[in-house]
Amino acid sequence: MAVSYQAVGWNAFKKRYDTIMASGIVAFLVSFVGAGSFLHPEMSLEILLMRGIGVSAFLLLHLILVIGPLARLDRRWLPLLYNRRHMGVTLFLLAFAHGVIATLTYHVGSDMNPILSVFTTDAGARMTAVPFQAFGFLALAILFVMASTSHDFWLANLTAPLWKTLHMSVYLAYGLLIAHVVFGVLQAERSPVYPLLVGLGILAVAGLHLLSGWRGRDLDRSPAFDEKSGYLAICRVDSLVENQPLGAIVNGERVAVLRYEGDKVSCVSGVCQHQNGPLAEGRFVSGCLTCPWHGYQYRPADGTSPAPFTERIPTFDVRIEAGMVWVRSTSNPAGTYTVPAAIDHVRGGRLNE
Amino acid sequence: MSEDPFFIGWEASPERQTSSWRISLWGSLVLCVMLGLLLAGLQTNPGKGIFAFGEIHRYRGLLISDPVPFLVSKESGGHVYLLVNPLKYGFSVDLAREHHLQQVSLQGSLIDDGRNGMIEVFPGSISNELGSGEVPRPALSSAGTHLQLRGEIVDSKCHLGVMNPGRFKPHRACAIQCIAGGIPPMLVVQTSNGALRHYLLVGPKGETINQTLLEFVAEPVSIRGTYRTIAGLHLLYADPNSIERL
Repeated sequence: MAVSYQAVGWNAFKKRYDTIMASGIVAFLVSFVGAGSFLHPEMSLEILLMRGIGVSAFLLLHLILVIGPLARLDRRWLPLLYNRRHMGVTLFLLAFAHGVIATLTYHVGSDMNPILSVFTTDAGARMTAVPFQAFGFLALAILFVMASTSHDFWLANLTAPLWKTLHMSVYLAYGLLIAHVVFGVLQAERSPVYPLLVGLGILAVAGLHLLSGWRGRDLDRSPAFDEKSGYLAICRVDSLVENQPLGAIVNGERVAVLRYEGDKVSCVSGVCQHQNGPLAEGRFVSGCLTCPWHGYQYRPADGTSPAPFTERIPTFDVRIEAGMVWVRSTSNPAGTYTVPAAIDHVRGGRLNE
Repeated sequence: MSEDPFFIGWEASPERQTSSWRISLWGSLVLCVMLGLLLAGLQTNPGKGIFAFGEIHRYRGLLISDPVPFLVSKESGGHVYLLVNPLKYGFSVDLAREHHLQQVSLQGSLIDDGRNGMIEVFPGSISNELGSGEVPRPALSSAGTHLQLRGEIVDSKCHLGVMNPGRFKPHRACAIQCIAGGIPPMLVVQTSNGALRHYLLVGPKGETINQTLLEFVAEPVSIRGTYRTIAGLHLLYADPNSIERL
């Protein structure tokens, strides 16, 4: 969390994160180019570099895409998610380098404009003529937009929902890059290992997303609704684990119901104002509901970040009846204080039963 | 990964994460190195050609302009070099005709795949070479053989060594631009034992058919024509109407 914009809000973990990422990329490039030069000494260096950088970008994109579902399936992956934006910017830089080398190698040196050449020199409906270059160019354009708007400045000014929607285009970029690889270099390479690895990558990305969605399917079930009071029955009081929020859907919105400080129950929006992170998967830490993605914090009673931070999220009125937690179906404006419902310990959380 | 089941990045203590940090660092390094070795090692053989970029030598011999510009060398026992210009351009047709059947001296960089030689001619370096023993004019084989060949159309400059690999789909755009720029097109035919044979492609009367071939570049094609040789160059006098995608 930060109260003012900085180019990068460095901390010890981010530095280590980036060190590991940079070391991995350098190790991959050195081994790829080194082994390629040794095994195929006639191969043009620019092509070897172009391939090595392109493959490293493609692998990094897969890692970026699986971090989200992995972290939802197992909290031990959350540290990888914390600094994912640096991975995204690094991905763009690698993809850009790949594109520049490919353009200089294949498209510069004739009468035709190199960019025009990218779009016109391969076209057709046949497998051997599908325009793989244009797919790569369009994916690079998407990655550029994402990288250039990755900073919190853009997140705050575009608003989280719009920013999130914009950054979901990474899946479009992924599809374009799959086409770029399948209709491009896979048409030239003979080893079955390459298409096998691409297939495994697609399976991993799609499979992990489906699995994490399947695990969260209970969240999408509509709770019982009392028309007279306008409240929804969310869960039994005794099913709430202290300091661990429970996710639910209220009137189409994701909410986080939290039992904390022994006998209090509050409900706030389940969507973090920062990057729309899943607050229901967070924890109650230091008096605040804490987002699992980047550690943004909100007080459960008023949905407001502790000073000097200014983030606010909507709150929901809560009451406990017949051992059930009920949440009003309409939210209060962001930052509105609501009295936490109290659990009757004497009756084991079965107040008014 | 953190030992803490709930990770908060901004409060993560480096001291608490020393072991996981080291495991992550070394694990990612080992994984990346292994992936790099595997993916680099599985690449298809790119070819054996060389391009002596930046190494400019003088060549002397007889210049022939048709059906493709080439030089029959005086120094290396009549070795034949195809002639091309820098970048994605063929040798100037006008310049070739101007020096056709003349003893010339020119400077350029060697492109060679071990069987076929080519010179990227340094601009403005060509001049007539008078006296000092003439190179005889090579003869075109008189009786041509009619062939139907299956292979891939490439540009001879990249394929002979400027780019390794200079074939297949990723190289298609480059090959199209090179052939459009006048570099002699070449049909690469893979024999049953995996060896490659190269045929320079010209029209039925020896004319240039580069523009006609552009839409077929870097795709598997079948093509019919008359096979002839001149000074060791393999030529297919091809009928453009016979080209079929396979």
